Amino acid sequence: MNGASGAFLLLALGAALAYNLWRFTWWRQSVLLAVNGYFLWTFSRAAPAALVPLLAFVGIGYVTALIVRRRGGWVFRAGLCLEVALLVWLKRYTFLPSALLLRDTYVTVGLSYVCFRMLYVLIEAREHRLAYLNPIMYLNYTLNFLTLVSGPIQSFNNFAAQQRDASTAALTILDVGQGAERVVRGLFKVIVLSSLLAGLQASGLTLAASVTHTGQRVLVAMLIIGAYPLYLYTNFSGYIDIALGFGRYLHMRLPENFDRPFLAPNFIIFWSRWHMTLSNFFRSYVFNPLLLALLRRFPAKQIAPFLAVIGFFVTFFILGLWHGQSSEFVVYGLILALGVSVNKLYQVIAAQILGVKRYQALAAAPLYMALCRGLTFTYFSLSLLLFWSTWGQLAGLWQRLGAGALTLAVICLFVLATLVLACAVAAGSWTRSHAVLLRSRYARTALSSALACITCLVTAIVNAPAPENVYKAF
Amino acid sequence: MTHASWIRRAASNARQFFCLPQRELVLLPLVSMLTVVVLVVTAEAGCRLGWQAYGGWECLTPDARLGSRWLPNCTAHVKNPESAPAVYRFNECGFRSTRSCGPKGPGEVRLVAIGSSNVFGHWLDIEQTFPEQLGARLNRDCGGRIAVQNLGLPGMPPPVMVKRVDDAIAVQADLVLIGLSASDTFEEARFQWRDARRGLIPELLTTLRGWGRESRLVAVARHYLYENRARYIQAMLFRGDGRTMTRPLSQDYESSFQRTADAIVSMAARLRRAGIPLVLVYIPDRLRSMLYKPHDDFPGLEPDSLRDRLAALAAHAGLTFVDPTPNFRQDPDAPSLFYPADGHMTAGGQALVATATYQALRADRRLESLVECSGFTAASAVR
Repeated sequence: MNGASGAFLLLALGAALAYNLWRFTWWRQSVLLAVNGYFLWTFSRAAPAALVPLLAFVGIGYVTALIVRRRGGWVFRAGLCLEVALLVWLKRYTFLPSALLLRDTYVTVGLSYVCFRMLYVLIEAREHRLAYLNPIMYLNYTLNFLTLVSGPIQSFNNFAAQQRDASTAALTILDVGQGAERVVRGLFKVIVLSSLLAGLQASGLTLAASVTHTGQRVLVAMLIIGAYPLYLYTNFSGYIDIALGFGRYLHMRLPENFDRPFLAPNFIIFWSRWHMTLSNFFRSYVFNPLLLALLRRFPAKQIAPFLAVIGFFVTFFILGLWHGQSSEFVVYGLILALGVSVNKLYQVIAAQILGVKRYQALAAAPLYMALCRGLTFTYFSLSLLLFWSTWGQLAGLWQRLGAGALTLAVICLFVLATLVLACAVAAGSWTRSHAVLLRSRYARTALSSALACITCLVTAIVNAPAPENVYKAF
Repeated sequence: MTHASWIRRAASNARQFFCLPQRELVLLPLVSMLTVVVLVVTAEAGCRLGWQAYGGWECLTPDARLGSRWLPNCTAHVKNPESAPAVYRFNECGFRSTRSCGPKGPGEVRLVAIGSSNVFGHWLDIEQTFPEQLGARLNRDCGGRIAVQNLGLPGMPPPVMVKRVDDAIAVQADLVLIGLSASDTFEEARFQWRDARRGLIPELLTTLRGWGRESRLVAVARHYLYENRARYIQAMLFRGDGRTMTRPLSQDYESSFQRTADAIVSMAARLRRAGIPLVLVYIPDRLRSMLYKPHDDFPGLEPDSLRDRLAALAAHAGLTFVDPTPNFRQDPDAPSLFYPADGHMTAGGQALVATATYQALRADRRLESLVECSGFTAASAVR
């Protein structure tokens, strides 16, 4: 079931109605369990056996958490390894021998996100911070229909506390309005913007086969490279908006996943604003422990900043690798890791050469920031080439468009991104100075009404299903 | 729980739910509605700028005999939102023709076309209409002997076409073509069906349909909406067009078809008495063109059921029957030969009908004396 489909909207609205009928915790948890179960069932194509691996995976996570809660130490490490190994096995990474893999078709939707939630439970169990753990709460947390497919990733304690508090909270018209506003914004992003951008990129790919003039080839290459990050953003953040909006109706304050990432002044900050819950997870449970371990192993103060560079490299390599099972994602991980670690290295070296104050002054200069934003966007766009294509497709593009046109396209994309993002920043500061008017309830109501109208019209006219959630594959 | 306490609790819950000031509870829905109105008005204005439409009826005048007719020597510049600009020019008789309707010149063969909008060539220039394209083809063989007089009138039902036979005889026709599409035989039945659905919702739908007909935004939206095959077929089926596509034809449509059949038989008889051959041209529509390719998504719909009935009728009445269906079937994108929202044939669709008619005239031995020319070869018939 697509998160922007009519069926999903009906399911979510029905769930919200039933959920708010009574305030008893048992009632609300039962409603959630039923809806989560039904949502998961829709992916099984009426074959219950297809759900068994995923449910077994979730069940193992619960048992492991119970054991870890009583006995930490090596049990935790063993549990952690077991869950990650099961994820790799169930996701059929290409390096695994095929004889080891399950032969039957089974549901893998949201497997990574389920695993992240299970890891949260495991970590909180080890730290004895796990309150309210019971099978129903655990299932509702790990298989939450709003966040199953693509997150956001919420900690178990956060989820459980909200659900416990929900018994005393009543839904108000403000919640309804704010939730609807978020859902409408999400639907607009997914149905209108991401469809448009996907169409633009697809037409670029089609045109690539026929264009001959250098100028045209540069434009087509710019379209192919530059449209995808915008498509990915509108698609992913749109689905997140829908989840967050409906979450309001179910007393779930789900964490934000995006914070104007393209306005980030460098690649490190970009990743703290893009897919934030995943980045935070990796920061907390990969980068920080790794850096601590490195600092313990190499305690010299002079090399501490360089250890952070290594920490970034390893963290982002794993993060990139997590996205897919093929060799393209190994290189994607390397590119991400290089981007972030080189960014960090540059910061360290520049601060050493210029001095911290002068470097900070330089980093705050508007022109420098604008150029950095353009560079960040361009680098991210290039890294995504390995995210959406295969080696064969890339070779084909290289042959059709040529090295010269591609190089020129990257330079033009950098210039264009720099200019457009500078305008966006200026528009953002203008908006902030007029925040009282623009963020008033009336302006937001008007904007949401307009977006809803446009979305309905486009849905009726296009008569095609909304673009699939890109992160569904992960 | 007593009723009173239940009501008190419900009231308390409602107060808790509507936690906004009363002013906002009124103003916010108003703002929302106002936004929608502003958006619709802006979109309508934008569509009127980008999708121009004008003209069409300024040359039309009420007529006691026919209901309406074209004014003689009148010219109208027309365009619908989906079409290119076109010109309607009428001769001294109010017929759409480049030739005079006066006494025939020596050797002139006068071909008269009777029918509704598809024969008239709605939204097209005269040279794009199928009677004129047919005339041009025949003239390539016959050296300009063929003169076409188009007596088409959009919306003309078959009983009125019968009255047009007098005009055809008066203008000394040598050959009369009658073009019929499903909508010509169906309009009456559809109106009856609509009338049968009285009630609040049908009335509301009728009112909305009235607004929709006037709105350019709706026209543009329909254009894009109807480019989708499934949506278009569903919309046409909702309109009731599916009843012309059953085999046998549905009971309520059968009576409407019978009126059409009676009209054709009557026209054939009168023209036979005047010694003028009659050719019945079947004109496919967009709905049927979407169902020509093998499909299983709309079971029970037979795109050829009406054609077969008309063919049987023509055979019974001894008429030449023109079936352009194979030409439309062969076209890889037959639905594009019609304007999606307007439904009329484009110049491409008219060309296919002209080709089929040309081939049928050439193949019919009864018409040899009329269209036999020295330049004709078998190859040109296939062209």
